Amino acid sequence: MEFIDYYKILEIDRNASADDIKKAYRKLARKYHPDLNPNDKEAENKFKQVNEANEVLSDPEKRKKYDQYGKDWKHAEEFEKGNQRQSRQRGQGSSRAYSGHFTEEDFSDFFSSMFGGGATGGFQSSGREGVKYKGADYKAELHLKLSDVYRTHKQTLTVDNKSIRLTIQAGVEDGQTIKIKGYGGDGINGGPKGDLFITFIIKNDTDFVRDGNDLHTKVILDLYTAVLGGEITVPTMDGKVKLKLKPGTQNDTKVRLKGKGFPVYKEEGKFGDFYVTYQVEIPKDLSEKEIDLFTQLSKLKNHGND
Amino acid sequence: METTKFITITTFCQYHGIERSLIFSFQELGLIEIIEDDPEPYLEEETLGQLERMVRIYKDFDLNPQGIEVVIDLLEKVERLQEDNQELKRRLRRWEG
Repeated sequence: MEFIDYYKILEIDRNASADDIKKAYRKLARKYHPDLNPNDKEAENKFKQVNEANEVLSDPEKRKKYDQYGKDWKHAEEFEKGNQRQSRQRGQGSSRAYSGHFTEEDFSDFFSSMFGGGATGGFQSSGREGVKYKGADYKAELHLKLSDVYRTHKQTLTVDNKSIRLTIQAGVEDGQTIKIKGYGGDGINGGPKGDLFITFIIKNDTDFVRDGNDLHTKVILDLYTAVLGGEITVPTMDGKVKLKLKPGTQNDTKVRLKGKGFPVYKEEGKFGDFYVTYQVEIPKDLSEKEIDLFTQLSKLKNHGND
Repeated sequence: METTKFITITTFCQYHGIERSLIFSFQELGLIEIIEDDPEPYLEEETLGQLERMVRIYKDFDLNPQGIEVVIDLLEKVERLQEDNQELKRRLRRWEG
């Protein structure tokens, strides 16, 4: 556990007056307010820190204790005394001006060890009361592999000690978010439960590049097959396919295999396309014989009618 | 299986300690939808999240409903831009492998 410098968090010096603290707090709480910084975890953390700092520094008793013991806060005895004194004062409610979303976990371990855990304190309720009726929305990430979402499958998640059996539809996109109604936090005073938002983070464990429902791949072609034509085998998500090559296939030629791409989300039986780009490999480190033969070919090309 | 729950304006306002007129001014600005019914107008559960955000902004920043409308508009823009940005980053990652 680290010592937390509440003065630094509020960007004020140790001699700051109550008014300075109030001003500094209001300014920073506005800046980092979760409602004005959607999807910004850093701002959310700052907001919590600013609130915690204000909780301590705006209360003369807490501030005194913090100033006195703060630096040597590991001295357990003084702590104990402090905790006992503090526990009697809990439940008074705080003077928090900003209403964000608070839970007891939002205060640091440092705060808890110095001023007693927040679990039964008045802070939690004062943070939430009058703010939310509907329960909090939960956000979760589900990490999957691309090969996992080629087919529809079921997965069981545990959120808040509840098991949720989730059907993950084939073709779900990386970054796609689904909402599961009523699986968020409990509502307050009879308010409805919040929702659960699951964002899929899909790691590509294949050699293909996914672009929406299409898949792209590069295939190395030896010079002779490109020049003379032939047959090659190419892996797709759904097994190998044979491709016929025309004589004189050019480098960077792209062919489309219709319906061999990725499944379309929630449209069973529908698939995107599979694109193969040929990359012709030019032979290197030739033997003398090869050089000789290429030279003959070159001459033939340049003086074809000789 | 989804059921829509309804919350009366009275319940909501009592809980949040706000005037009914605030909710109706949000409605006038087109920020939320109120279902007029006898004996009590009510809100759909779906609108609660957005409405509670507006109430927090109202309380925390001392803004009037017109100010809140501007904030909500800008926040929607921010969220759209964030989504676009995420999508572009994802696309970029795909090709960078």
